[in-house]
Amino acid sequence: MPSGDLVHATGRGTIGIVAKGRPVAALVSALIPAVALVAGLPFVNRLEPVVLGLPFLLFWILGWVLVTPVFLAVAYVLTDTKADRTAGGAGR
Amino acid sequence: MTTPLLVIVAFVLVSAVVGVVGRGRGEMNVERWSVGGRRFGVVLVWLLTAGEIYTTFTFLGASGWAYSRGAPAFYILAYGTIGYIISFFLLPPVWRMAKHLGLHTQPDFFLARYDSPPLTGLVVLIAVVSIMPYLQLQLAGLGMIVEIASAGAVSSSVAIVVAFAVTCVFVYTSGIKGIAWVAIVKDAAMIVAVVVIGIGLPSMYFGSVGKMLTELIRRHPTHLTFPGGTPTMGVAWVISTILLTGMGFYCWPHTFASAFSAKDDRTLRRNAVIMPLYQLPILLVFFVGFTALLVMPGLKNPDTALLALVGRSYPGWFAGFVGGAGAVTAMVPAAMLLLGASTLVAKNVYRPLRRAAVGEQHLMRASRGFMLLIAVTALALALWSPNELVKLLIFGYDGIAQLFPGIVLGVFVRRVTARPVILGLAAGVAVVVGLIWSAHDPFLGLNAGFVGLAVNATVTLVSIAILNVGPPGGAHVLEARR
Repeated sequence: MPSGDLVHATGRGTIGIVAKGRPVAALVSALIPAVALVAGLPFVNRLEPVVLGLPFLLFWILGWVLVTPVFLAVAYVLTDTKADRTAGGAGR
Repeated sequence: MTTPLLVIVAFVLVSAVVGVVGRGRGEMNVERWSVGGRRFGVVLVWLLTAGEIYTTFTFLGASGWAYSRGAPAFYILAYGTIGYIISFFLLPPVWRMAKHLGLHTQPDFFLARYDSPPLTGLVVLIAVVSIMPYLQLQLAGLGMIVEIASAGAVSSSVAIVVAFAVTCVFVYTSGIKGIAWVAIVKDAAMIVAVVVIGIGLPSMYFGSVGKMLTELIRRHPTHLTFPGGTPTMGVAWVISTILLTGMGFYCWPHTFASAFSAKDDRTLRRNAVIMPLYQLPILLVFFVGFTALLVMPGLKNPDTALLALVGRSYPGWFAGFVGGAGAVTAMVPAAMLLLGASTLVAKNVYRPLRRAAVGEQHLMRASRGFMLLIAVTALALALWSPNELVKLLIFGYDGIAQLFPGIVLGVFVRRVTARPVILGLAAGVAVVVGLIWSAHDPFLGLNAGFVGLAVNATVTLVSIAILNVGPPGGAHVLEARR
Protein backbone atom coordinates (compact mmCIF):
# COMPACT_ATOMS: atom_id res chain seq x y z
CA MET A 1 0.00 0.00 0.00
CA PRO A 2 1.31 3.43 -0.89
CA SER A 3 1.47 5.72 2.09
CA GLY A 4 -1.63 7.90 2.11
CA ASP A 5 -1.69 10.82 -0.24
CA LEU A 6 2.07 10.96 -0.58
CA VAL A 7 2.11 8.57 -3.45
CA HIS A 8 -0.63 8.50 -6.00
CA ALA A 9 -0.93 7.32 -9.54
CA THR A 10 -1.10 10.26 -11.91
CA GLY A 11 -1.63 8.44 -15.16
CA ARG A 12 -0.27 5.44 -16.98
CA GLY A 13 2.85 4.14 -15.30
CA THR A 14 3.57 7.39 -13.53
CA ILE A 15 3.91 7.83 -9.80
CA GLY A 16 3.53 11.33 -8.50
CA ILE A 17 5.46 12.06 -5.37
CA VAL A 18 4.89 15.30 -3.60
CA ALA A 19 7.94 16.86 -2.02
CA LYS A 20 6.98 18.43 1.26
CA GLY A 21 8.10 21.38 3.29
CA ARG A 22 11.03 23.41 2.05
CA PRO A 23 13.27 21.14 -0.01
CA VAL A 24 15.59 23.90 -1.24
CA ALA A 25 16.38 25.15 2.25
CA ALA A 26 16.89 21.54 3.37
CA LEU A 27 19.28 20.91 0.47
CA VAL A 28 21.32 24.00 1.35
CA SER A 29 21.56 22.96 5.01
CA ALA A 30 22.64 19.42 4.13
CA LEU A 31 25.20 20.54 1.57
CA ILE A 32 27.05 22.93 3.91
CA PRO A 33 29.07 20.23 5.75
CA ALA A 34 29.73 18.25 2.54
CA VAL A 35 31.07 21.25 0.62
CA ALA A 36 33.02 22.62 3.57
CA LEU A 37 34.67 19.29 4.36
CA VAL A 38 35.77 18.55 0.79
CA ALA A 39 36.46 22.06 -0.57
CA GLY A 40 38.45 22.94 2.54
CA LEU A 41 40.96 20.11 2.14
CA PRO A 42 43.50 21.99 -0.06
CA PHE A 43 43.68 24.73 2.59
CA VAL A 44 43.91 22.54 5.70
CA ASN A 45 46.56 20.08 4.57
CA ARG A 46 48.84 20.88 7.51
CA LEU A 47 49.65 19.76 11.05
CA GLU A 48 49.35 23.12 12.85
CA PRO A 49 47.46 24.24 14.83
CA VAL A 50 47.01 21.06 16.86
CA VAL A 51 43.44 21.02 18.20
CA LEU A 52 42.44 18.69 21.05
CA GLY A 53 45.66 16.77 20.43
CA LEU A 54 44.77 16.18 16.76
CA PRO A 55 46.79 17.53 13.83
CA PHE A 56 44.72 20.17 12.02
CA LEU A 57 43.95 18.10 8.89
CA LEU A 58 42.49 15.26 10.95
CA PHE A 59 40.65 17.69 13.21
CA TRP A 60 39.06 19.38 10.16
CA ILE A 61 37.70 16.13 8.73
CA LEU A 62 36.56 14.77 12.09
CA GLY A 63 34.94 18.10 13.05
CA TRP A 64 32.75 18.21 9.94
CA VAL A 65 31.77 14.56 10.33
CA LEU A 66 30.67 15.25 13.90
CA VAL A 67 28.55 18.33 13.07
CA THR A 68 26.92 16.79 9.96
CA PRO A 69 24.05 15.30 12.03
CA VAL A 70 23.17 18.83 13.21
CA PHE A 71 22.88 20.10 9.62
CA LEU A 72 20.92 16.99 8.58
CA ALA A 73 18.61 17.37 11.58
CA VAL A 74 17.81 20.90 10.39
CA ALA A 75 17.14 19.51 6.91
CA TYR A 76 14.90 16.85 8.48
CA VAL A 77 12.83 19.46 10.31
CA LEU A 78 12.55 21.49 7.09
CA THR A 79 11.23 18.54 5.08
CA ASP A 80 9.07 16.93 7.73
CA THR A 81 5.64 18.50 7.74
CA LYS A 82 2.55 17.81 9.80
CA ALA A 83 0.89 15.94 6.92
CA ASP A 84 3.96 13.73 6.72
CA ARG A 85 3.86 12.92 10.40
CA THR A 86 0.34 11.59 10.12
CA ALA A 87 0.97 9.80 6.83
CA GLY A 88 4.30 8.30 7.89
CA GLY A 89 2.69 5.66 10.10
CA ALA A 90 0.51 4.49 7.23
CA GLY A 91 3.54 3.32 5.34
CA ARG A 92 3.54 -0.23 6.60
CA MET B 1 44.42 -25.00 19.25
CA THR B 2 45.61 -21.65 20.59
CA THR B 3 43.50 -19.68 23.08
CA PRO B 4 42.69 -16.88 20.58
CA LEU B 5 41.56 -19.43 18.00
CA LEU B 6 39.26 -21.17 20.51
CA VAL B 7 37.65 -17.86 21.44
CA ILE B 8 37.18 -16.98 17.76
CA VAL B 9 35.52 -20.33 16.96
CA ALA B 10 33.16 -19.91 19.93
CA PHE B 11 32.34 -16.38 18.79
CA VAL B 12 31.50 -17.47 15.24
CA LEU B 13 29.33 -20.37 16.48
CA VAL B 14 27.31 -18.10 18.78
CA SER B 15 26.76 -15.67 15.88
CA ALA B 16 25.60 -18.46 13.59
CA VAL B 17 23.03 -19.53 16.21
CA VAL B 18 21.81 -15.92 16.56
CA GLY B 19 21.40 -15.80 12.77
CA VAL B 20 19.31 -18.97 12.60
CA VAL B 21 17.15 -18.03 15.60
CA GLY B 22 16.81 -14.42 14.39
CA ARG B 23 15.35 -15.34 11.02
CA GLY B 24 12.04 -16.14 12.66
CA ARG B 25 9.57 -18.89 11.86
CA GLY B 26 7.58 -19.61 8.75
CA GLU B 27 8.44 -20.57 5.22
CA MET B 28 11.20 -18.61 3.51
CA ASN B 29 10.44 -16.82 0.27
CA VAL B 30 12.33 -14.22 -1.73
CA GLU B 31 10.41 -11.29 -0.26
CA ARG B 32 11.32 -12.32 3.29
CA TRP B 33 14.81 -13.56 2.43
CA SER B 34 15.82 -10.39 0.66
CA VAL B 35 13.81 -7.46 2.04
CA GLY B 36 12.51 -8.88 5.33
CA GLY B 37 8.88 -8.32 4.31
CA ARG B 38 9.54 -4.53 4.10
CA ARG B 39 8.73 -3.98 7.75
CA PHE B 40 11.93 -2.77 9.41
CA GLY B 41 11.91 0.29 11.62
CA VAL B 42 14.70 2.69 12.41
CA VAL B 43 16.62 0.23 14.59
CA LEU B 44 16.83 -2.69 12.19
CA VAL B 45 17.51 -0.49 9.16
CA TRP B 46 20.23 1.24 11.15
CA LEU B 47 21.75 -2.11 12.07
CA LEU B 48 21.59 -3.32 8.49
CA THR B 49 23.18 -0.17 7.15
CA ALA B 50 25.82 -0.36 9.85
CA GLY B 51 26.18 -4.05 9.11
CA GLU B 52 27.36 -3.09 5.67
CA ILE B 53 29.55 -0.23 6.80
CA TYR B 54 31.70 -1.84 9.45
CA THR B 55 33.48 -4.49 7.49
CA THR B 56 36.90 -6.08 7.53
CA PHE B 57 37.79 -3.05 5.49
CA THR B 58 37.16 -0.75 8.47
CA PHE B 59 38.85 -3.03 10.95
CA LEU B 60 41.96 -4.25 9.12
CA GLY B 61 42.04 -2.17 5.93
CA ALA B 62 41.74 1.24 7.63
CA SER B 63 44.39 0.39 10.24
CA GLY B 64 46.59 -1.05 7.49
CA TRP B 65 46.40 2.16 5.48
CA ALA B 66 46.88 4.34 8.57
CA TYR B 67 50.03 2.28 9.14
CA SER B 68 51.41 2.30 5.60
CA ARG B 69 49.91 5.39 3.91
CA GLY B 70 49.01 7.76 6.75
CA ALA B 71 46.82 10.75 5.83
CA PRO B 72 45.32 9.35 2.57
CA ALA B 73 43.49 6.87 4.84
CA PHE B 74 41.50 9.84 6.21
CA TYR B 75 39.27 9.60 3.15
CA ILE B 76 37.68 6.60 4.93
CA LEU B 77 36.46 8.88 7.72
CA ALA B 78 34.93 11.35 5.25
CA TYR B 79 33.24 9.42 2.45
CA GLY B 80 30.48 7.78 4.49
CA THR B 81 29.34 11.21 5.63
CA ILE B 82 29.04 12.37 2.01
CA GLY B 83 27.14 9.14 1.28
CA TYR B 84 24.62 9.78 4.09
CA ILE B 85 24.04 13.37 2.99
CA ILE B 86 23.23 12.13 -0.53
CA SER B 87 21.03 9.34 0.86
CA PHE B 88 18.94 11.86 2.78
CA PHE B 89 17.54 13.13 -0.54
CA LEU B 90 17.97 10.09 -2.76
CA LEU B 91 16.61 7.17 -0.75
CA PRO B 92 13.11 8.42 0.21
CA PRO B 93 11.93 8.77 -3.43
CA VAL B 94 13.60 5.45 -4.26
CA TRP B 95 11.79 3.84 -1.34
CA ARG B 96 8.41 5.27 -2.39
CA MET B 97 8.91 3.96 -5.91
CA ALA B 98 10.03 0.54 -4.65
CA LYS B 99 7.05 0.33 -2.33
CA HIS B 100 4.57 1.36 -5.00
CA LEU B 101 5.86 -1.06 -7.62
CA GLY B 102 6.89 -3.92 -5.30
CA LEU B 103 10.59 -3.78 -6.19
CA HIS B 104 13.08 -6.13 -4.52
CA THR B 105 16.40 -5.37 -6.12
CA GLN B 106 18.37 -2.53 -7.61
CA PRO B 107 17.98 -3.83 -11.21
CA ASP B 108 14.20 -3.96 -10.54
CA PHE B 109 14.49 -0.21 -10.06
CA PHE B 110 16.32 0.27 -13.36
CA LEU B 111 13.87 -1.95 -15.20
CA ALA B 112 10.83 -0.19 -13.73
CA ARG B 113 12.23 3.25 -14.38
CA TYR B 114 13.85 2.82 -17.80
CA ASP B 115 11.91 -0.16 -19.17
CA SER B 116 15.06 -1.44 -20.87
CA PRO B 117 16.27 -5.07 -20.46
CA PRO B 118 19.70 -4.25 -22.00
CA LEU B 119 20.29 -1.50 -19.43
CA THR B 120 19.13 -3.80 -16.63
CA GLY B 121 21.51 -6.53 -17.84
CA LEU B 122 24.39 -4.04 -17.91
CA VAL B 123 23.57 -2.90 -14.37
CA VAL B 124 23.58 -6.51 -13.09
CA LEU B 125 26.90 -7.16 -14.82
CA ILE B 126 28.56 -4.04 -13.35
CA ALA B 127 27.11 -4.77 -9.90
CA VAL B 128 28.24 -8.39 -9.75
CA VAL B 129 31.73 -7.62 -11.08
CA SER B 130 32.11 -4.73 -8.60
CA ILE B 131 30.96 -6.90 -5.72
CA MET B 132 33.68 -9.48 -6.38
CA PRO B 133 36.62 -7.47 -4.96
CA TYR B 134 34.43 -6.37 -2.02
CA LEU B 135 33.61 -9.99 -1.25
CA GLN B 136 37.19 -11.04 -1.80
CA LEU B 137 38.24 -8.41 0.74
CA GLN B 138 36.04 -9.98 3.44
CA LEU B 139 37.33 -13.48 2.77
CA ALA B 140 40.96 -12.31 2.72
CA GLY B 141 40.44 -10.46 6.02
CA LEU B 142 38.87 -13.52 7.64
CA GLY B 143 41.77 -15.60 6.38
CA MET B 144 44.29 -13.22 7.98
CA ILE B 145 42.48 -13.31 11.31
CA VAL B 146 42.41 -17.11 11.47
CA GLU B 147 45.99 -17.43 10.25
CA ILE B 148 47.38 -15.02 12.85
CA ALA B 149 45.19 -16.32 15.69
CA SER B 150 46.42 -19.86 15.09
CA ALA B 151 50.02 -18.56 15.19
CA GLY B 152 50.51 -19.83 11.65
CA ALA B 153 49.25 -23.38 12.37
CA VAL B 154 46.37 -22.84 9.92
CA SER B 155 47.67 -21.57 6.61
CA SER B 156 45.92 -18.56 5.09
CA SER B 157 44.54 -20.60 2.15
CA VAL B 158 42.94 -23.14 4.48
CA ALA B 159 41.67 -20.28 6.64
CA ILE B 160 40.08 -18.57 3.63
CA VAL B 161 38.33 -21.79 2.57
CA VAL B 162 36.97 -22.31 6.10
CA ALA B 163 35.82 -18.67 6.20
CA PHE B 164 34.02 -19.14 2.89
CA ALA B 165 32.23 -22.30 4.09
CA VAL B 166 31.05 -20.71 7.34
CA THR B 167 29.75 -17.63 5.49
CA CYS B 168 27.81 -19.73 2.98
CA VAL B 169 26.10 -21.79 5.70
CA PHE B 170 25.27 -18.55 7.47
CA VAL B 171 23.48 -16.91 4.49
CA TYR B 172 21.87 -20.17 3.43
CA THR B 173 20.08 -20.52 6.75
CA SER B 174 19.47 -16.94 7.89
CA GLY B 175 18.20 -14.55 5.24
CA ILE B 176 18.21 -10.81 5.79
CA LYS B 177 16.51 -10.74 9.18
CA GLY B 178 18.86 -13.31 10.70
CA ILE B 179 21.78 -11.29 9.39
CA ALA B 180 20.36 -8.09 10.91
CA TRP B 181 20.33 -9.75 14.32
CA VAL B 182 23.89 -10.97 13.97
CA ALA B 183 24.80 -7.41 13.00
CA ILE B 184 23.84 -6.45 16.59
CA VAL B 185 26.33 -8.97 18.03
CA LYS B 186 28.92 -7.86 15.54
CA ASP B 187 28.56 -4.11 16.12
CA ALA B 188 28.55 -4.43 19.91
CA ALA B 189 31.68 -6.59 19.85
CA MET B 190 33.35 -4.42 17.26
CA ILE B 191 32.73 -1.18 19.16
CA VAL B 192 33.93 -2.65 22.47
CA ALA B 193 37.06 -4.00 20.77
CA VAL B 194 37.81 -0.76 18.91
CA VAL B 195 37.28 1.51 21.93
CA VAL B 196 39.47 -0.70 24.15
CA ILE B 197 42.35 -1.03 21.69
CA GLY B 198 41.98 2.42 20.07
CA ILE B 199 42.50 4.18 23.39
CA GLY B 200 44.33 1.37 25.22
CA LEU B 201 47.16 0.73 22.78
CA PRO B 202 48.35 4.36 22.39
CA SER B 203 48.12 4.75 26.20
CA MET B 204 49.97 1.49 26.84
CA TYR B 205 52.99 2.50 24.76
CA PHE B 206 52.99 6.31 24.89
CA GLY B 207 50.82 7.35 27.86
CA SER B 208 47.95 8.86 25.83
CA VAL B 209 46.59 9.30 22.31
CA GLY B 210 47.90 12.88 22.19
CA LYS B 211 51.42 11.79 23.17
CA MET B 212 51.33 9.02 20.55
CA LEU B 213 50.39 11.57 17.86
CA THR B 214 53.14 13.96 19.02
CA GLU B 215 55.67 11.13 18.80
CA LEU B 216 54.36 10.14 15.35
CA ILE B 217 54.72 13.72 14.06
CA ARG B 218 58.24 13.89 15.52
CA ARG B 219 59.38 10.63 13.91
CA HIS B 220 57.36 10.80 10.65
CA PRO B 221 56.68 14.51 10.06
CA THR B 222 54.96 13.97 6.68
CA HIS B 223 52.79 10.97 7.64
CA LEU B 224 49.71 12.95 8.78
CA THR B 225 49.31 15.32 5.82
CA PHE B 226 48.59 14.40 2.19
CA PRO B 227 50.17 12.57 0.41
CA GLY B 228 51.42 10.84 3.59
CA GLY B 229 53.60 7.80 2.98
CA THR B 230 52.71 7.67 -0.73
CA PRO B 231 54.10 9.46 -3.81
CA THR B 232 50.77 9.91 -5.62
CA MET B 233 47.90 10.35 -3.13
CA GLY B 234 47.83 14.12 -2.79
CA VAL B 235 44.89 16.44 -2.13
CA ALA B 236 43.43 15.88 -5.61
CA TRP B 237 43.45 12.11 -5.15
CA VAL B 238 41.80 12.37 -1.73
CA ILE B 239 39.08 14.76 -2.94
CA SER B 240 38.32 12.69 -6.04
CA THR B 241 38.27 9.49 -3.97
CA ILE B 242 35.93 10.98 -1.34
CA LEU B 243 33.55 12.15 -4.09
CA LEU B 244 33.70 8.85 -5.97
CA THR B 245 33.14 6.66 -2.92
CA GLY B 246 30.59 9.05 -1.38
CA MET B 247 28.49 8.95 -4.55
CA GLY B 248 29.01 5.21 -4.85
CA PHE B 249 28.03 4.57 -1.23
CA TYR B 250 24.35 3.85 -1.93
CA CYS B 251 24.94 2.50 -5.45
CA TRP B 252 25.81 -0.97 -4.16
CA PRO B 253 22.88 -3.31 -4.77
CA HIS B 254 22.84 -4.26 -1.07
CA THR B 255 22.99 -0.70 0.32
CA PHE B 256 20.47 0.48 -2.28
CA ALA B 257 18.15 -2.42 -1.41
CA SER B 258 18.58 -1.92 2.35
CA ALA B 259 16.43 1.16 1.76
CA PHE B 260 13.65 -1.17 0.55
CA SER B 261 13.47 -2.89 3.92
CA ALA B 262 12.49 0.35 5.73
CA LYS B 263 8.87 0.59 6.85
CA ASP B 264 8.53 4.21 5.71
CA ASP B 265 10.54 6.95 4.06
CA ARG B 266 10.96 8.96 7.26
CA THR B 267 12.91 6.05 8.72
CA LEU B 268 15.46 6.53 5.95
CA ARG B 269 15.85 10.25 6.57
CA ARG B 270 16.20 9.81 10.32
CA ASN B 271 18.75 7.11 9.69
CA ALA B 272 20.77 9.49 7.50
CA VAL B 273 20.78 12.07 10.31
CA ILE B 274 22.34 9.79 12.92
CA MET B 275 24.63 7.63 10.77
CA PRO B 276 27.62 10.04 10.50
CA LEU B 277 28.25 9.56 14.24
CA TYR B 278 28.75 5.90 13.51
CA GLN B 279 31.97 6.78 11.66
CA LEU B 280 33.68 7.70 14.92
CA PRO B 281 35.24 4.28 15.64
CA ILE B 282 37.20 4.63 12.38
CA LEU B 283 39.23 7.35 14.10
CA LEU B 284 40.17 4.90 16.86
CA VAL B 285 41.13 2.32 14.23
CA PHE B 286 43.51 4.92 12.75
CA PHE B 287 45.09 5.37 16.20
CA VAL B 288 45.81 1.63 16.34
CA GLY B 289 47.47 1.78 12.91
CA PHE B 290 49.61 4.77 13.96
CA THR B 291 50.66 3.08 17.21
CA ALA B 292 51.59 -0.06 15.28
CA LEU B 293 53.77 2.02 12.94
CA LEU B 294 55.72 3.37 15.92
CA VAL B 295 55.91 0.12 17.89
CA MET B 296 56.39 -2.46 15.14
CA PRO B 297 57.64 -0.78 11.96
CA GLY B 298 58.46 -2.78 8.83
CA LEU B 299 55.58 -5.30 8.82
CA LYS B 300 55.50 -7.22 5.54
CA ASN B 301 51.70 -6.99 5.24
CA PRO B 302 50.37 -3.68 6.66
CA ASP B 303 46.83 -5.12 6.78
CA THR B 304 47.97 -7.33 9.67
CA ALA B 305 49.17 -4.32 11.73
CA LEU B 306 46.12 -4.24 14.03
CA LEU B 307 46.10 -7.99 14.68
CA ALA B 308 49.86 -8.15 15.18
CA LEU B 309 49.87 -5.29 17.70
CA VAL B 310 46.87 -6.68 19.60
CA GLY B 311 48.46 -10.15 19.74
CA ARG B 312 51.65 -8.69 21.13
CA SER B 313 50.00 -6.38 23.69
CA TYR B 314 47.08 -8.29 25.20
CA PRO B 315 46.44 -11.72 26.81
CA GLY B 316 45.30 -14.54 24.51
CA TRP B 317 41.60 -14.42 25.43
CA PHE B 318 41.32 -10.73 24.56
CA ALA B 319 43.24 -11.16 21.31
CA GLY B 320 40.69 -13.92 20.59
CA PHE B 321 37.83 -11.55 21.34
CA VAL B 322 39.23 -8.97 18.91
CA GLY B 323 39.78 -11.70 16.32
CA GLY B 324 36.23 -12.99 16.85
CA ALA B 325 34.79 -9.50 16.47
CA GLY B 326 36.86 -9.15 13.31
CA ALA B 327 35.67 -12.51 11.98
CA VAL B 328 31.99 -11.66 12.44
CA THR B 329 32.72 -8.21 10.99
CA ALA B 330 33.82 -9.99 7.82
CA MET B 331 31.00 -12.57 7.81
CA VAL B 332 28.02 -10.20 8.09
CA PRO B 333 28.97 -7.98 5.15
CA ALA B 334 30.06 -11.02 3.12
CA ALA B 335 26.64 -12.54 3.78
CA MET B 336 24.87 -9.33 2.78
CA LEU B 337 26.89 -9.05 -0.40
CA LEU B 338 26.20 -12.66 -1.32
CA LEU B 339 22.51 -12.28 -0.58
CA GLY B 340 22.28 -9.11 -2.66
CA ALA B 341 24.24 -10.39 -5.63
CA SER B 342 22.52 -13.77 -5.80
CA THR B 343 19.02 -12.30 -5.52
CA LEU B 344 19.64 -9.93 -8.39
CA VAL B 345 21.19 -12.54 -10.68
CA ALA B 346 18.29 -14.93 -10.00
CA LYS B 347 15.56 -12.35 -10.29
CA ASN B 348 16.87 -10.00 -12.96
CA VAL B 349 18.84 -12.28 -15.27
CA TYR B 350 17.77 -15.87 -14.67
CA ARG B 351 14.00 -15.36 -14.45
CA PRO B 352 13.68 -13.13 -17.56
CA LEU B 353 15.88 -15.53 -19.56
CA ARG B 354 13.76 -18.59 -18.68
CA ARG B 355 10.75 -18.43 -20.94
CA ALA B 356 8.65 -20.66 -18.70
CA ALA B 357 7.15 -19.18 -15.55
CA VAL B 358 9.48 -19.32 -12.56
CA GLY B 359 7.62 -19.72 -9.27
CA GLU B 360 8.61 -18.33 -5.88
CA GLN B 361 10.16 -21.58 -4.61
CA HIS B 362 12.01 -22.08 -7.89
CA LEU B 363 13.39 -18.53 -7.63
CA MET B 364 14.47 -19.16 -4.04
CA ARG B 365 16.40 -22.28 -5.13
CA ALA B 366 17.97 -20.38 -8.01
CA SER B 367 19.03 -17.56 -5.64
CA ARG B 368 20.77 -20.04 -3.38
CA GLY B 369 22.46 -21.69 -6.37
CA PHE B 370 23.82 -18.38 -7.70
CA MET B 371 24.97 -17.52 -4.19
CA LEU B 372 27.28 -20.54 -4.20
CA LEU B 373 28.56 -19.68 -7.67
CA ILE B 374 29.40 -16.09 -6.69
CA ALA B 375 30.99 -17.20 -3.42
CA VAL B 376 33.21 -19.72 -5.22
CA THR B 377 34.38 -17.03 -7.66
CA ALA B 378 35.29 -14.68 -4.80
CA LEU B 379 37.05 -17.58 -3.08
CA ALA B 380 39.14 -18.22 -6.19
CA LEU B 381 40.06 -14.51 -6.38
CA ALA B 382 41.04 -14.44 -2.70
CA LEU B 383 43.27 -17.50 -3.12
CA TRP B 384 44.95 -16.61 -6.40
CA SER B 385 44.81 -12.83 -6.78
CA PRO B 386 45.58 -11.23 -3.40
CA ASN B 387 45.67 -7.44 -3.03
CA GLU B 388 45.66 -4.74 -0.35
CA LEU B 389 42.28 -4.58 1.44
CA VAL B 390 41.68 -0.86 0.84
CA LYS B 391 42.74 -1.17 -2.79
CA LEU B 392 40.16 -3.94 -3.28
CA LEU B 393 37.35 -1.75 -2.00
CA ILE B 394 38.42 1.17 -4.19
CA PHE B 395 38.35 -1.17 -7.22
CA GLY B 396 34.78 -2.07 -6.31
CA TYR B 397 33.84 1.61 -6.00
CA ASP B 398 35.49 2.41 -9.35
CA GLY B 399 32.86 0.13 -10.91
CA ILE B 400 29.75 0.54 -8.78
CA ALA B 401 29.81 4.37 -8.63
CA GLN B 402 29.25 4.37 -12.40
CA LEU B 403 25.57 3.61 -11.62
CA PHE B 404 25.19 6.96 -9.86
CA PRO B 405 24.16 9.14 -12.86
CA GLY B 406 21.54 6.59 -13.93
CA ILE B 407 20.07 6.44 -10.42
CA VAL B 408 19.99 10.20 -9.78
CA LEU B 409 18.63 11.10 -13.23
CA GLY B 410 16.17 8.22 -12.98
CA VAL B 411 14.78 9.56 -9.72
CA PHE B 412 14.80 13.30 -10.35
CA VAL B 413 14.65 13.91 -14.12
CA ARG B 414 11.61 12.56 -15.86
CA ARG B 415 12.56 12.90 -19.51
CA VAL B 416 15.74 10.78 -19.38
CA THR B 417 15.50 7.52 -21.32
CA ALA B 418 17.63 4.37 -21.23
CA ARG B 419 19.93 5.06 -24.17
CA PRO B 420 21.96 7.98 -22.72
CA VAL B 421 22.41 6.07 -19.47
CA ILE B 422 23.69 2.99 -21.33
CA LEU B 423 26.16 5.10 -23.35
CA GLY B 424 27.38 6.87 -20.21
CA LEU B 425 27.85 3.58 -18.34
CA ALA B 426 29.75 2.02 -21.24
CA ALA B 427 32.03 5.07 -21.58
CA GLY B 428 32.67 5.29 -17.81
CA VAL B 429 33.46 1.60 -17.43
CA ALA B 430 35.73 1.63 -20.51
CA VAL B 431 37.71 4.57 -19.11
CA VAL B 432 38.08 2.94 -15.67
CA VAL B 433 39.18 -0.43 -17.05
CA GLY B 434 41.55 1.25 -19.52
CA LEU B 435 43.20 3.45 -16.88
CA ILE B 436 43.63 0.64 -14.34
CA TRP B 437 44.94 -1.91 -16.82
CA SER B 438 47.39 0.55 -18.35
CA ALA B 439 48.58 1.41 -14.80
CA HIS B 440 47.36 5.03 -15.00
CA ASP B 441 45.65 5.05 -11.62
CA PRO B 442 45.87 7.76 -10.26
CA PHE B 443 45.42 9.70 -13.52
CA LEU B 444 46.69 13.32 -13.38
CA GLY B 445 46.51 13.00 -9.60
CA LEU B 446 42.84 11.95 -9.69
CA ASN B 447 41.31 8.60 -8.73
CA ALA B 448 40.76 6.63 -11.98
CA GLY B 449 37.20 5.73 -10.94
CA PHE B 450 36.41 9.42 -10.54
CA VAL B 451 37.77 10.15 -14.03
CA GLY B 452 35.50 7.37 -15.35
CA LEU B 453 32.53 8.81 -13.46
CA ALA B 454 33.18 12.28 -14.89
CA VAL B 455 33.33 10.85 -18.44
CA ASN B 456 30.22 8.80 -17.71
CA ALA B 457 28.24 11.83 -16.50
CA THR B 458 29.41 13.97 -19.43
CA VAL B 459 28.51 11.33 -22.04
CA THR B 460 25.13 10.78 -20.37
CA LEU B 461 24.26 14.48 -20.32
CA VAL B 462 25.46 15.12 -23.89
CA SER B 463 23.51 12.08 -25.13
CA ILE B 464 20.40 13.32 -23.36
CA ALA B 465 20.70 16.57 -25.30
CA ILE B 466 21.20 14.74 -28.62
CA LEU B 467 19.44 11.37 -28.39
CA ASN B 468 16.62 11.81 -25.92
CA VAL B 469 13.69 11.74 -28.28
CA GLY B 470 10.23 10.33 -27.81
CA PRO B 471 8.35 9.70 -24.58
CA PRO B 472 10.34 8.00 -21.83
CA GLY B 473 9.30 4.40 -21.08
CA GLY B 474 8.69 2.80 -17.71
CA ALA B 475 7.38 4.25 -14.48
CA HIS B 476 8.44 7.70 -13.41
CA VAL B 477 8.98 9.43 -10.20
CA LEU B 478 7.77 12.97 -10.24
CA GLU B 479 8.94 15.34 -7.56
CA ALA B 480 6.58 18.29 -7.36
CA ARG B 481 6.00 20.84 -4.64
CA ARG B 482 2.68 20.70 -3.00
